[in-house]
Amino acid sequence: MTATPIKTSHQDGVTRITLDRPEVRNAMSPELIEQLNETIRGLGSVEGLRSVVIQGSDPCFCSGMDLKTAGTDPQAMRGMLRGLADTMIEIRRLEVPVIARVQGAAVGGGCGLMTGCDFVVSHPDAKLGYPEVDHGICPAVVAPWLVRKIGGGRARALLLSGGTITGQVGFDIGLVSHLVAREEIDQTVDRLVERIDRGGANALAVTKRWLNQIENANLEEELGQGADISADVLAGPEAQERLARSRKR
Amino acid sequence: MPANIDISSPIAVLELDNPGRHNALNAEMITAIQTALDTVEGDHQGPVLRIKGNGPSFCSGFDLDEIEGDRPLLDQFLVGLSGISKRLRRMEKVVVAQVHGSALAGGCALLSACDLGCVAPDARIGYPVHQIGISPAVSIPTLASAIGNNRASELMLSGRIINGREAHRMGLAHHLAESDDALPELVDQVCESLVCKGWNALAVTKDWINKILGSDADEPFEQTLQASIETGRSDEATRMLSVYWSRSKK
Repeated sequence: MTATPIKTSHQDGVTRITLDRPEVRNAMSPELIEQLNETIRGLGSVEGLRSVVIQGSDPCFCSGMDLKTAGTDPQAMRGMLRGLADTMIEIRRLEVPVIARVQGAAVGGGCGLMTGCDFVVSHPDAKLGYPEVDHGICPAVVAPWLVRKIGGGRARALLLSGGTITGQVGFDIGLVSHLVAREEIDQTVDRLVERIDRGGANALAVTKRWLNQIENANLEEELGQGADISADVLAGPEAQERLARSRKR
Repeated sequence: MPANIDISSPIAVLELDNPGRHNALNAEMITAIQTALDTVEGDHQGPVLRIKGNGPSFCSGFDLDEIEGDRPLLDQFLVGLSGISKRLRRMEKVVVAQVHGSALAGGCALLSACDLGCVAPDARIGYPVHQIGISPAVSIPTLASAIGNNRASELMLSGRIINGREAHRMGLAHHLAESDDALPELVDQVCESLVCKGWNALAVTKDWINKILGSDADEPFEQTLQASIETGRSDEATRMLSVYWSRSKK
């Protein structure tokens, strides 16, 4: 049986994209990233699309890159990092707002995916963050985005400190846009979707395009460069040694 | 020397040590910091540089008394501060500031150039330098990239002094100690946790963030330094500094 790692549904102008590998906390495999990209690219032709929700099957949003691949094949990992960078570019190019529905955890690449979305709905005890440096890895793909989203100083502190933070702290530093109790997440996402639906589709598209243009002149180029930097660090001895150690555990 | 450097562990410690003057930046202090940074860059094995001040303060900014009667010294101080800020920003180590008491003007500039700011709740932080006719422009490249243009303008143009809690809220500091006494232990924890990370990963990540933020370009540092130097030579600064000196003698 080959289960598809991405599930998609369209209803009332809303596309919901679900990362669906719950047995590994929705970790990003090469297939998952590829399908995610294809799905998002295909959204341009969906008629009447007003918003996109990205979510993960319980227990969490996404636990990050599937690091099992990384140790054995750095080349495959490079492909995944470039894939994630592409996903973030595609999310940005979409002419409708993209909402990340984040329950449980969004860590590493999962937190990167979340950061690329226009809205993040999460709860105070969610586990968020970029523990890359703990594993000897450089969170280079998300860095250009994070710097723009929460400012240089906070991005610097967060990425250099590694580890994880709570949803509450994520909200305090501007990473989470809507913080509610865990059981109110769906309701909040629904309200947000309705609110977006009431707005002018053209007005929203133009606004998003302008925000991209003002703030993110070199972003796409930097995202691509980031994937290579990250892949180089990952292929190096420090990261390989740390990953091997964590696999033994 | 008014600054001590210890590189015997993976956490290098730079301690400003002129407590009687609140670790003010004077010619001797600036040279001592530069020498210490040479040592760290040349000989230290480890991913962290911790900077702290001995005595009641982190650093109270330029030693204005030393400038009295030797105005060209102000230019030298500004050149020194700009160079130190740039080095801290680009150094291949995570630079952690431990800020208690005053971190004013040049002291606040040092904080803004560090990667991680840890502050005591009652620390006094800001750029109250217009009162002496000098521009804090020299600190703009590090401050604006740390907390954003809006907050940086407000802090610099108002010249107001904020406490550690507010510095934490606005993102100038990243860790807030529960009390002034709890600060050293908090910084111990922050530094020790950094040593456990991949050292190469930390260096590459810092370098990449600098590139994204444009901190790898010399131009902003040079332009803002020049602006501060010219302001410091102006008639307005001369007039306001004389008032300051005559008052401080009363």
